[in-house]
Amino acid sequence: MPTPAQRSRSFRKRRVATPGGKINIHYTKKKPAVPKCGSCGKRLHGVPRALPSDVKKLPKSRKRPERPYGGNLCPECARQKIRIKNMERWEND
Amino acid sequence: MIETGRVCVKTVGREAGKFCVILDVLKDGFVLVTGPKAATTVKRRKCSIHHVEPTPVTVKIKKNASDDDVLAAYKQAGVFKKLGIKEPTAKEIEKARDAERKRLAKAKTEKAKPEAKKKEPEAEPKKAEEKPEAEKAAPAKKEPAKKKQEAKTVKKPAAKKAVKKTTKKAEPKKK
Repeated sequence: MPTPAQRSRSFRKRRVATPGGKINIHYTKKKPAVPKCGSCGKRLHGVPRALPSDVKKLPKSRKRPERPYGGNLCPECARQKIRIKNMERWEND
Repeated sequence: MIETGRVCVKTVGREAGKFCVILDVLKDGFVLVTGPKAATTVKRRKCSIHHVEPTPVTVKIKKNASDDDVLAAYKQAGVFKKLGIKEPTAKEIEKARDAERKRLAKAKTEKAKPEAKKKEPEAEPKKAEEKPEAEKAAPAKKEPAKKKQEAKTVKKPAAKKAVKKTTKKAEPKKK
């Protein structure tokens, strides 16, 4: 039987073959969802898919791309957004 | 819209969303661009036209003008106010100059080495041709990804950096 804390849907069952020929079940925490672009839903690169406690240990530059909207928008959408912002800024001139 | 003296916004890379000026229009849809680095953190570099978005602001500068000339032109035209940028202090300008000097010195030493290597290995003519071209395009960028023999020379500045770091850490403690 698993410990009560592990009797939860947020745990994944892993089958592990032991040296004695048995198959034991290990309980591991499930990974969070894949990071996606906020506007188009594309999968984001350069953003780790790990538990928040593990992500916290990483340096800032490994958590997201070093670009405006990095880690929130995909590069194409970010480019578009910067372009539109630039155009809006000079509209009144 | 794309001409020398046109102020633009970079849309790609870590400099995205930052202002720069076009210094020269090169072949094949490329452009020479600078922030200058002291003002907007955009390095003096070659860059694709597709990675740059023009603004209605222009500055009167010569082709391939130096960063100091660009800063002076910014002051005259009041570009800092127009763009909403802080005017760089003398300290910041000098810092950028120092970095540029170091970069040029490094590029010189690297240019000298591959020429000596060319004569030795005749079995790899293709690689020898490709590498110098890449260095011309971006001498500063390709420094870390060098050959094994050059790694020895690269180690020395790394050691110097380590020494600098320790001294920096020690200073604030004294204060």
